[in-house]
Formats: sequence, structure tokens, C-alpha cells
Amino acid sequence: MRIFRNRRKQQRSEQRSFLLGERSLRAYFAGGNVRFLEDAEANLSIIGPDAEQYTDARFYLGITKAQLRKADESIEILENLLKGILSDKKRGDFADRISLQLAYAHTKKYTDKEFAVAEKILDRLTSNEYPVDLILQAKSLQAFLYSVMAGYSKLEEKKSEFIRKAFKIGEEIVKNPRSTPAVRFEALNALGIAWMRFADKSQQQSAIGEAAGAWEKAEYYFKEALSIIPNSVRVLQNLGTLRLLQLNKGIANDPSMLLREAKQFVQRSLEVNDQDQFPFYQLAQIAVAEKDRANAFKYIREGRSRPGAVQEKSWTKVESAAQSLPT
Amino acid sequence: MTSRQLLLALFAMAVLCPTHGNTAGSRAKAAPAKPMKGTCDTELILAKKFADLGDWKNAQIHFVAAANETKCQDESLAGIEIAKRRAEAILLRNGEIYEAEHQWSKAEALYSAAASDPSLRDTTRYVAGDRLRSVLQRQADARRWKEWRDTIAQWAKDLVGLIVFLLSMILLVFTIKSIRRHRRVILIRPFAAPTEEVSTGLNIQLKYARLTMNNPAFSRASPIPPFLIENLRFSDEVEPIEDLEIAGSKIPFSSLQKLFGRPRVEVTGGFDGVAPMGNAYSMVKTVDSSADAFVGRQIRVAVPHEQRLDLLDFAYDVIVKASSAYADI
Repeated sequence: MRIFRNRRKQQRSEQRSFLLGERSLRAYFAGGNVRFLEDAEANLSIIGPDAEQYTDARFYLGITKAQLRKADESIEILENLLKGILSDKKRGDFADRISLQLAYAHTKKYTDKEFAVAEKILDRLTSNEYPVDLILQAKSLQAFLYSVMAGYSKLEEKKSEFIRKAFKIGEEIVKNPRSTPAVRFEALNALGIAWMRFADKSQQQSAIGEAAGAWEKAEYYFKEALSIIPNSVRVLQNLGTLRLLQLNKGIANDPSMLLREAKQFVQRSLEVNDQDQFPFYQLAQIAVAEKDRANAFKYIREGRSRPGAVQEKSWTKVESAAQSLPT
Repeated sequence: MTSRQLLLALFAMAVLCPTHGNTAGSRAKAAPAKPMKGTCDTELILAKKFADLGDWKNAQIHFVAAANETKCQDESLAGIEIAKRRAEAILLRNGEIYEAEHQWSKAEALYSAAASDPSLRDTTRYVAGDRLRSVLQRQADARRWKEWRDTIAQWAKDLVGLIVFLLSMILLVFTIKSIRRHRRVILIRPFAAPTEEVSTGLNIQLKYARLTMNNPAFSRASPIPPFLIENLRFSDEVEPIEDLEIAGSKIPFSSLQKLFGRPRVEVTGGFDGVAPMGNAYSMVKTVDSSADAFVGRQIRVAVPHEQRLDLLDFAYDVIVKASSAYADI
């Protein structure tokens, strides 16, 4: 009798933890505060394999870990889940949904090795044997992957190819009438990033005329993405990065205008979510460009107190740039 | 005088002087004018006089009296006929008046008496009978119409009764359902704040947090591709959440709802709005107190967007706690 009672108690506790974890994950997606992500991780981690919600809990935990920059743990959880699911005849499209998340987790590791794994997964998901909706989602993620690879890959000679692939896939999705707003949004954001990388690269290669049109196209796609999700933090921060790149390349006659606009984009993103390091890092960069030492340190201080994925060497770089500014 | 002689004297008086007594009724009834014997001319004069006055009954009596003598017979008989005609014409005219005034029972009585009165002429009786049939017919029509009207009125009354009954049944079912629904919801009461503006702002954040959490894919703050969130397939809303309607109840029988419809989870709270760092709190109360929770959070008040973001985070906290408390009961 006691065994049953204990089991029931445990089930109830797991049910509660699952719900708390699931709701916290939702709250994170809705508001972007990492605190909720930590709550989700804590609650979803304790769900045992005997629990009814185990599979869903592992799925959510894998996603949570990816967002907490624990990509290795996330990949391990999702891969194990995938292995278990593949033997289940009633799996439906669950395995495909896990694969998409897995590809995204690999992408977020920002290394060529992981990019290759993500590429392989997405290549498989874009074959004709899958439903059109899933293919479009996978392609959208592919466009994003190539746009990221164009910026972060160490294979410099292949970057042009990544950019071309991102253009081709992104345009294809944007033109496809079956693309859902969610898929279109991601493709437009990816096209914006790809054109931004293209413009940056063209500038490096002194193809000035080509770059001028590319900057405009990047901005056009980002603004198209904003028409689907207005004030999307991701897109606003990309627009901030775009302006900073333009500034660094010295393409404007009036750099202060670019700085002002960059600051506006980043501050708009902070109006939505101020619990991430990256916008503070961007503001610190802008303050350095404005030679505003006090604000640069203020933003560095605030940014460091937030959770996020800005690397230590990036902070150090902006900090030393701020140090070199006159007091 | 002896007593025997006195009694005899009284008896003799009683026989010789009889007392004549009159009652009020007998005095009021005027005795019909009696014709004087052997004076048919006088009778005719009287009859004509009565006829001139329109008193055809008395005129007829005097004409009848005059007819006993041969010399007055022709004139008397003619007078009798005229008197009879005029009396019967008046009778029928009275009947017509009753009919015109829809006094059906009086008309019926008049015609009925006339139709069976042997003293009246055949023609008059025939007309009276005819009129009687017509009156009876119209009475029957009026009765049928009344019956039909009464039936309709009864139906209408029954229908109204039925509708009222059905409406009350619907209301009852609705109330019971509402109470049952109310017992299953998370009820978020308006949060208290020092100003109406701050209170409204906080309540709006709670509503926004709830809606965004139901479908976070298109949230502005979402850090990953929206379709990856859509693919998680969160249920739309596991538990229904509703706000308390301020200044009024959503359903009638609100007292019943208060008595029986206690929500599964009730959320109350407030925000002090003190600058530069305020405090927001919320109490999550479950129906059996088994999973009560408290949420407290500091809110940056100096900068408007920071206050909004902190309140929104607080709202997410409240929804997460209320939601899990709901599942825990």
C-alpha cells in the first residue's frame, strides 16, 4: 500500500515539475528572461524515465539546454531521444521535429564541425519524402545556417558559397506561397544576415559598387522580417550589427547618423528584453565609437551582469577600447 | 248593559260597518279605466284621447268597450286595429333598439315573449320569431368568438408560461454550468496599486503575459526561429484563466456563484509603485490550500520601459506559479 502511495506521490511531484518546467519554458520564449530558462532546466531535469511525460520533458530539456548555451548537453539529450523515438512505430512526426531542434542546436555551436552536422540533418529533412511544411521549415533553417556559416565559418574560401546558398534557399522560401509566416520570417532574417555578410565581404574585396546594393538589400530583408514580427529582438539586434558594420567600413559620409540609428535599433530591442548580454555589448561598442568612455563602461558593467553568449575575449576587446578613450 | 248585550252590539256593528283595508301595492296599481255602460260615444272619445296621447293600451280597452254597441262598432274595430298595430310596432322597435345596443339577452326575451304571445297578430309574431332567430344566431356567433378569443388567450398564457419555464431552465443550466466552469478556472482578481494607472498597467501586463505564453512563437522577445516553437505544440491553454469582471458579475445569480463557484485557483496581488525600486507581490490561493504560493519581485520604477519589463517578468512568474498550482490540486 505504501509503495502505491509513494508512487502516486512521486507521479504527482513529477507532474508538477513537468508543468512548472513547461510553463517556465513558455515564459522564456514569451519574455526572453533567462531566469525562466533556469527554472525550466531545474524542473525538467528531475523527470524520471518512468514518468508519463518523460519524452516531452526530455524534448523540452534539450531545447532548454541549447538556449542556456549548453549545446553539448542539448545535443546528447536530443540524440538519445531521437534514438528511442525511431524504434517507436507511433512516433508520427516527432522524430522530424527533434531533428530540426537538433540541427538548430548544432548550428548554435558556431564551429565548422557542428555546422557540417547541422547541414547533413537538414539535407535529409529537405528530401521529397517529407511533408511540404517540414521541408519548408528545414529549408528555412538551412538558409539561416548558411547565413551564420558565412559569418562564423573558418573556411574563408567557402564563405561566398555559403552566402550564395543562403540567397538561393531564402529566395525560394520567400517566393513559395505555401510558406507560413513563421517560415517566411526566418528566411527573411537569414537573407538579411546573408546580404549583410555579402556586403561586408565585398567591402573587404573592394567591390564597393556591389556592396552598396548589398547593404540596402540586407536592410530591406530585415525590415520585411519586422513586418511579420514587429520589434523582434533578433532582427533589431541584427539591424544594430548592420549599422556597426557599415560604420566600421566607413561607407557613410555622416558616421554619427549610423551610430544614432544603431543605438536606436539596440535600444528598441532593450525595450522588449533587457535580460541578455548582447545588446549591452553592442551599446558598449557604439559608446566606444562615440568616444563616450563613461557610457561604454556603464554598458560593459550592465552587460556583464546579464546572462548571455558574448565571449570573454569580445568583452575584453571592447573594454580595452574603452580604456584607451580619454577620460 | 250586560256583557252579553255589549257583545251583541259589537257584532251588529261589525256586520253593519265592514272595514275596507288597502295595501301599498294595491293602492299603487291604478285600476284600468272602466267603460261606462251605454255610452259608446264617450268610450270612443276616451279611446281617441288615449290614442292621441300614445297610450295605445288604454285606447284599445276603450275601443273594445265602445264596440259593444252596434252604432260604434265599425269605428271601434278600426280603432282597435290601429291601436294594435301601433303597440306591436313599438314592441318591435324596442327589440331593434336592444339589438342595436347589443343587448342580446333583453332582445331575446322581448322577441321570445312576442313570438309566443297569442294576443299579437301573426305578422308581428312571425317578425318577432324571425328577429329571435337572428338574435340567437348573433348571440351564438358572439359566444363562439368569445370562446375562440378565450382559447387564444389561454394558449398565449400557456405559451408565455412555457417560455418563462424554458427560460428559467436555460438560465438554471447556464448558471450551473457557469458555476462548474468557475470552479475549474484560475481567477485573476485586479491587482491593487496606489494609482488607477499603475493598477491598470499591471493588469494589462498580466493579460499580455498570459496571451503570449499561450502562443510564444511570435513573441518579439523570442530568441529562436518561430516555427521551432510552433513545433513544440504547447497546448493552447491547459487551464482556463479568467479575470474578475469589475463592478458586476458575468452571470445572474451571482450570489449562487459566490457560494458554490469558488475558483480552483485565485490570484490576488498588488504593486506599491515606490521609486526607484518598487515591490510587486502576488498570492496564489488554491481551493484546498494545498498548493498556495507567493510571488514577490522588485520592480525598477525610475525608467518606464524598465518598469514595464519588470512587471511583465513578474506577470510571467505569476502565471507560471498559478498554472502549476492549478495542476497540483
